[in-house]
Amino acid sequence: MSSKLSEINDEAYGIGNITSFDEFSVIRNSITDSTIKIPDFDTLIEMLNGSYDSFSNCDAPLGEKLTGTIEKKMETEVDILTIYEDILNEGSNSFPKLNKKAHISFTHGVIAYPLPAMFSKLDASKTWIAYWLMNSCILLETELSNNEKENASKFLLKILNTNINDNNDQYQGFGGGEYQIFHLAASYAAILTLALAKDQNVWSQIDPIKVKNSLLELKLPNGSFIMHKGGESDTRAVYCALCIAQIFDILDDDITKGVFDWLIECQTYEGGFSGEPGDEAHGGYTFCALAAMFILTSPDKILKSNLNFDNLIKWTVDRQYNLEGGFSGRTNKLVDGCYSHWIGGTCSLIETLINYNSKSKTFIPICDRQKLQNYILCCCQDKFGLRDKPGCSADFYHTNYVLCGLSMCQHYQVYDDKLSVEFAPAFGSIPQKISDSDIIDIKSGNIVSAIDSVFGLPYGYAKDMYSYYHKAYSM
Amino acid sequence: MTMNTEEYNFDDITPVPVIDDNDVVLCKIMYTEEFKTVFGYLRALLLKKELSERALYVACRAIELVPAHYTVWEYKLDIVKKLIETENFNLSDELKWCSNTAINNQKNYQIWHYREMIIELIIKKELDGDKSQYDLEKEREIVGTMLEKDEKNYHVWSYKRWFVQYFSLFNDETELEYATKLIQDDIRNNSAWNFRHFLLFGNPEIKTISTDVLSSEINFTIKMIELSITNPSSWNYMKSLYDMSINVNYDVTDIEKIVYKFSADLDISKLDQNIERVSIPAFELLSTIYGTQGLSDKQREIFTLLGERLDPIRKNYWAYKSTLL
Repeated sequence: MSSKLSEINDEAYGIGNITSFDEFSVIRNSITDSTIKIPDFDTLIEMLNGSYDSFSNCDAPLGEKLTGTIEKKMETEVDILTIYEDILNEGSNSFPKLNKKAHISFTHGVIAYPLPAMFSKLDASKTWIAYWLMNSCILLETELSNNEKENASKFLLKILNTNINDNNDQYQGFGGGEYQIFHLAASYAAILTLALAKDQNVWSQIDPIKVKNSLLELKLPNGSFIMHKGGESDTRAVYCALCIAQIFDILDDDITKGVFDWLIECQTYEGGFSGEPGDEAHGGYTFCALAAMFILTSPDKILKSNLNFDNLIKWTVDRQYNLEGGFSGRTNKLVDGCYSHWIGGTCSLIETLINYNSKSKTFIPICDRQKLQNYILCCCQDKFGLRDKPGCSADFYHTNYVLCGLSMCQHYQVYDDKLSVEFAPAFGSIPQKISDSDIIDIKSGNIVSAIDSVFGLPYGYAKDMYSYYHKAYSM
Repeated sequence: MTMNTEEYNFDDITPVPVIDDNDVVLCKIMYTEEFKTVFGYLRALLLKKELSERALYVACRAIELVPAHYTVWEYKLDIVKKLIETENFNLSDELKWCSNTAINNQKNYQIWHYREMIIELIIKKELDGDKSQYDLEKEREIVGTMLEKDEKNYHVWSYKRWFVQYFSLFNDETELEYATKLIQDDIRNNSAWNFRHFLLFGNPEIKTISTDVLSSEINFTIKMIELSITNPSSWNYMKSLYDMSINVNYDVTDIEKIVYKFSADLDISKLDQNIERVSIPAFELLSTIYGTQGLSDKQREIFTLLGERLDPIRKNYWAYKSTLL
C-alpha cells in the first residue's frame, strides 16, 4: 500500500479503480428489489460516497500537501474500503454477523488458562485484564461459571491483602497486582470485576470507610484526584474515584468538593475534554469527564452548569468518519474500535441530556448507529476477539470496549428522575433496546447485553453492589 | 537465578516468591526466570523499605521489564530522594536514564511525571530553587526527539504543557516558533494546534484576551485555512478565535470573509462531495455567524444542506440542531 501512496500527488489521488456509489446501487438492485430496505447493506453503499473527511473515495483533487496525517488516514481508509467493497460485491447475504461463538471461546478461554510470559508487561494492570475479560463474557450474553467467579474472588482478595500501603488497618484498595500500592484505575477495574462476580462474601471483606480513607489520601486541593500516591492527576483518576465512591455509597462532600469545577477546566476550545487543563481534547478523557458529571449530579444541573454543551456535542459527533463509520479519539486521528465505547458512551450520555430536556415523543439520536455497527461488524472482528482496526490483532482491551460500543449502538438510555432520587443520580439511566430500524437494524444473532452508560458494566451490576453497601452500612 | 552482581550483593535478602501454589489461573502470568528473580527481590526490598543504591539497581531492572509498574516508579523516586541526601548522587544521570527509557517506551504514563519530579528536585537541590537557571534546551530537545517519532504522542504533549506552565513560557517566542513549525510540517497535527492555543490563550494568570494576539492569530489561521480548506484543526481553532472575538467585541470581518469564501460565496446548488472537496467546517462556522446575526432561517438552510446533502454521517446531529432554532 505504501508504495502506491508515494505515487499520489495533489492533483490525482483516486486509489485503484474504486467503484462509484452508482455502480454499487446497480449491483444492489440486481440482487434485491430496491423497495425492500436492507439497512446495513444500504448504509454501507452510502459510506462509500465522497465526504469531506475522507480522501480515498472520490476523484476530487486533494488540494493540499500530502502529510503524515493524510497518508495514515488514507492507508486506513483503503484497508476499510477494500473490506466494504468485497461485502458489497458479494451481496447482502455476505454481510458479517457478530461471531459470538468465537469471541465467547476467546474470553472464557483466556480466563481458564495462564497467560504467556509476554503479558508480564501488564503485571501492573492485572485487575484490568480480569475486568475486560469478564465484562466481555457478560456482554456476549454468557454467564460466568462458579469456578470463574471463585477464581476472580480469590485473585482479587490476594491483591487486596498484599497491598503494600502503610496503615493497612485504616486503608483499603487495590493495586494492579500483588505487592503494589493502591491505584485508582486498578481499583476501579477490580471493583467492577467484583460487581460482575457478585460474591457477597468478598464484598463483606471490604470496609467502605477504609476505601474512603484511601480515596481522600489521593484528593488534591483543586478538587481532582491523583491516580496513586505521588502519581499524576487527570480526568481518568477523577472518574475512577467517583465510580468507586458511588458503588461503596461513600460519595459525600469530602469526595465531591471542587470536582465539577475542575472538570469544567478540562473542557478545551474544541469542546471535548483533556486529561488535565490545557491538554488536547481526547475521547477517553471526555467520556471520563462526562460520566463523572453524571455521578456528581442530575442532568438538569449538568445542563445548567458552565459546561459548553454545544461545543461538546459538535466535537463528539465530529469523531465519526463517513467512510469508516467508526470513531476517532481526537481531531485528525485515525478510527479505532475502542472509541466505540469512549466516544459512543459519550454520545449516549449526551443523548440522555438532550432527550431529558426534549419535548419530542421519539428518541433523538445524535450519532449514526448503523454506520458504527457496520464498522464494528465488518472491520473490528478478528478470528477470535475484537480489535482496533483491520490489520490489528484482537486484544482484551479492544474486545471489551468494542462490545461496549456495540451495546451502545443497540440501546439508548432513558433518564428516570425517580430512580435518581431513590438511589443516586448515577443510577437514573435505564437502557432501552432500539426497535426503530431507521436508527439501527439489529439482527438477532448480533445482540449484546444492555450497558450501563456511566459505569462501563452491563446494566444492573453497579446498582446491585451499591445497594448491598447502602443496606449494610446505612443502619 | 542470582541477583548478585560485581557491584551489589543481595545475600542478606530473602526474596518474596512471585508465584505461590495457591494462585488461581485467572491472570496468572508465566513469568520468565529473570522476572521472578528481579521481582522476588524487589518485593522483599519494598517491604523492608530499603532506600539504597542496590535497591535503585533492582528498581531499574524492574522498570525495564515492566515499564508501566507505577509502584516501582514511586519506589524509585523515594530511593532517589534518599540518595541525594546522603551520597554524591547525580540527578542529571537520572534525567539521561529517563530520556533513554522514554525513547524505548512511547506510550507510558509514568516516565514524564517522574521526569517532572526529578527536574523539581534538581532545581531545589542544585539551583537553590531558581528555575531560571535551569537549562530549558535539554527539555526542548527530548520533547523534539519524541515528537519526531510520534508527533501526536499525548503523554509527551502533556509534559510539554507542564513544561510551559512550570517555567512560565506562555507567549514565549521559541515555543511559538516550535508550534508554527510543527503546524507547517503537518497542518493537520491537532496536538500542535492545541499547544498553540494553550501558549497564547491558556495562561490562567491573564484574564483578558489581547486583541493584538487575536489579530495575528486570525491572520495566521486564515493562511492555514487557505492551504487546507477542509482541515478541522484549523477551523476549530478559528471557531475559538471567532467566539473570543465576539466576547471582546473584536472585529470579525476577516473571519467572515474567509468563511464566506468557502461557503456562502459558492454556488450551493452545484456542490457535490464526489466532485470537489467541500469544506463542512466553513459551512458550520457560517451557521454560527448567521446565529450571531440573528438569521435563524438562514441557519436552518445550512443545517438542512449539511444534514441532507453534504455531511450525511452527521444527519442526526444537523436535524437536532434544526430543532433548537
